[in-house]
Amino acid sequence: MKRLLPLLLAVVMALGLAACGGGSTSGGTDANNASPGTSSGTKDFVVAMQADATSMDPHIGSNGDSNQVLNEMYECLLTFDKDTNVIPLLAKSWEVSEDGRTYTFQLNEDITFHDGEPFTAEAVRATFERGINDQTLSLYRTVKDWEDVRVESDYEVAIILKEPNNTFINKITQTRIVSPKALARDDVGDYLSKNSAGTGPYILSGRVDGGYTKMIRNENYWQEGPKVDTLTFKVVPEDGSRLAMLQTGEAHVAIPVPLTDTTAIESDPNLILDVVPGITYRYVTLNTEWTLPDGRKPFADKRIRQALNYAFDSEAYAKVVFSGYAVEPTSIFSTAILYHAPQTPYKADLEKAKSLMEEAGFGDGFEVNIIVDNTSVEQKGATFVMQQLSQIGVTVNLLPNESTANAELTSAPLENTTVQMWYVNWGSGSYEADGSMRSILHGDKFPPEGYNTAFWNNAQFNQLLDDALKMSDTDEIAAAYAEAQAIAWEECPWIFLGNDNSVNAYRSNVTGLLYKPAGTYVFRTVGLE
Amino acid sequence: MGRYTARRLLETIPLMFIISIFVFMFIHLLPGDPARQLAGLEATYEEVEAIREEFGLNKPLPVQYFDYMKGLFTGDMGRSLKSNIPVSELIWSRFQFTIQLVFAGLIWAPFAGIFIGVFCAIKRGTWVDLGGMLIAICGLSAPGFALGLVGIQFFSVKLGVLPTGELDSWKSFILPSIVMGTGIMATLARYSRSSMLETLREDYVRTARAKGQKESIVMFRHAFKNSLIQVVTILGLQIGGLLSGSVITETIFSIPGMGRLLVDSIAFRDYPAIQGLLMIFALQYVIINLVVDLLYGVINPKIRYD
Repeated sequence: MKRLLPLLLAVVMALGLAACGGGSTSGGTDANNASPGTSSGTKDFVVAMQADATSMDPHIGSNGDSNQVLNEMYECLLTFDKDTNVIPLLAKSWEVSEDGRTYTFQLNEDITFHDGEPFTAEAVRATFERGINDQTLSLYRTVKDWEDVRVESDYEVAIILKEPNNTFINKITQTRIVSPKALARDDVGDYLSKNSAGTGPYILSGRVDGGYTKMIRNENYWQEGPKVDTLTFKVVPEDGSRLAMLQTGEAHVAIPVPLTDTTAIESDPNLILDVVPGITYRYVTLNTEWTLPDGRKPFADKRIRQALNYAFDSEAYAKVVFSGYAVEPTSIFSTAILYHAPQTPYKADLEKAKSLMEEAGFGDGFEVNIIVDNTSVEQKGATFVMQQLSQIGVTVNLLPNESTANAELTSAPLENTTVQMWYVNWGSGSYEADGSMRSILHGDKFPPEGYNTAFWNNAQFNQLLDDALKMSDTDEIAAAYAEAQAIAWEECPWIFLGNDNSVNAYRSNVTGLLYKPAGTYVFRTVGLE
Repeated sequence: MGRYTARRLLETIPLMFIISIFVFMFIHLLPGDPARQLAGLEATYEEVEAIREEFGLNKPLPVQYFDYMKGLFTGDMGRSLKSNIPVSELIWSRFQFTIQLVFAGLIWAPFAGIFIGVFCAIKRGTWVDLGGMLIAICGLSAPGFALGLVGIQFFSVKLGVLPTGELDSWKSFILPSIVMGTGIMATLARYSRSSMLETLREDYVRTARAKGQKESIVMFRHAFKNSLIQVVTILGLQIGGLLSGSVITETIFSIPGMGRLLVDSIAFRDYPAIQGLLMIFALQYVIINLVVDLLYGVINPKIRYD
């Protein structure tokens, strides 16, 4: 025992020393020993987020969580206001050439990057060059349709497109401009993963991957900036913990809000709950090429596809699955997207659904598999679909799987696909109609090229989308997209399920907060009372 | 003991080599494609292929394995496909949180568990024994998830005396420490009680009593010390499990430890990160087992290694 005791003590001491070492902080301009949101004397704004940003490199991460964090450090030439109108940001104005290929931007002056480099037209060119030369970057996908970037003067830059594209103005709101000095470094990837080199209102000061990202206020910010000293995005994966942080004041904003806990938020006088239309659109794809063992193709018949829509009660779906925080679909994408054209909703009508099934020769129904991501909310939704379709004799087998595994299944080409139905959702981060339809409904976008897992190919629909892309007159664009929506709505390549609302919750002492339909917040002018 | 330790450490090399092959095979058996994850939903097939090419994901698996091992021998565990951070850096930053969490659990749980177990064994059949085992059963039955969330609701939201998570002040260690330690305490209480009872039935204990030794000496010098072998074995396994990260505790208290890193990496099919983590976990188990084996000799001098 005498020999055992020192050994045990040594183990405990070693563990203690290791524990005192603390978590490492990567990069940043301060040592960041203070924990986020707890330092005294400073105003720390804390956001509790469900998932972490993929990377601090502004040209790698392209998911919603990455955008949320990166947009506070990096800015684009244009941006969206809260009603999703495109407005100037680093550019003060722009004009488009008659052929629709050249966009000329007048840039704001007296703006500096976080590394002290002045913002000029050269930065736009340097950003373009980084993207076009590296297909592994998400930036590549926003600049690949650009032919060139011409620097006209220090504060005038022209972007020339390979061909006219009406979505360009929306998509350029995703192109983050980075300091040319940082982009010229040999270790640009490493540098940007640990330092910010944008023009945004906050500067990266510390980060623990999977833990938090901390930023300090940019004292040289060029327009009205934050009223807080720091902004910290904490990763809080558990819904209950995220809500608890909001209730205790450890966080000022929670993203996303757990829908099952909205009552607790509403009844708390220190919290504000606000609901706005979202862009997430939910649907079930119907593989029109799927063949039953007897050789029949149920989803190839429009009447069957319509019958499924008549069998589905969207109002009940919104209440049961989303606690009422969703709305009935009125087209094939959200009302928050530009050029949304309302259609006549498929109101639940079981008799009509049954008669359509009968007419199509499927009066006895059939059995079909549906793949779905294995999160609880997705499975709850797919179970609701299963219950609804059982009313018209369609037996749906649920096949829940990880989203990564489903991504592989749904990227299989037609000859190999095993997908019969897919419970899924889609939302265009740039709020544009083409982005809300092309990848998932255009005939050229069968997997693996895109996610048209309905394998629906309507020549007129395809043509309308292709034509609209080259148009510049907004009335013509609106008419083309309205017709395309009407075709898809009538043809029903999907079961149209619903449209999420964006539920926002924050502390009542928060000021200057702005949020957009995608559930994206802007913390540029936030303050704490 | 020195030769024994050296031999065991040498044996680790082929073992780790075999583990590396199995780990590599299994992670590539998982359906899912990291290139598609990296490319995002709007990427074309050609763009996904370009990413696959760039990261060497289109090479035959034996070539990918050879490249990986070549890097490993030069101390390079590769870069995370998800975050582009070197895997060694990523694991080290997460390990520091995990070790704090392990420490938070170990600082009280083994002592409390052994104390309860031994005390219950001494007072076998009394109310004390019943009470102690009730605590142990409750500790084993309480799911960490529920314990954590109830703790947060009560101590953080209702009373406002403890933070909801992280490990940035002494107060913030309390709730994670309770969640991490409760299971260990309960397990050790049950094992140490049964081990102690078994030892108390041994002839040498009866002999010691017959010699008229004081009961405290019989209990602690003769019985307790010998009952520790089983307890140390269980404790070693528990520590091995804790060092691999506790996904539940890390998730509830928002702690970026190794358990969450593994789950996130698997979800993304971040092969280098998964491979690195599983190799480290295997190594941890090998080392802990070695330490446990060496401790046997310390506890019972009759056990010799050379």
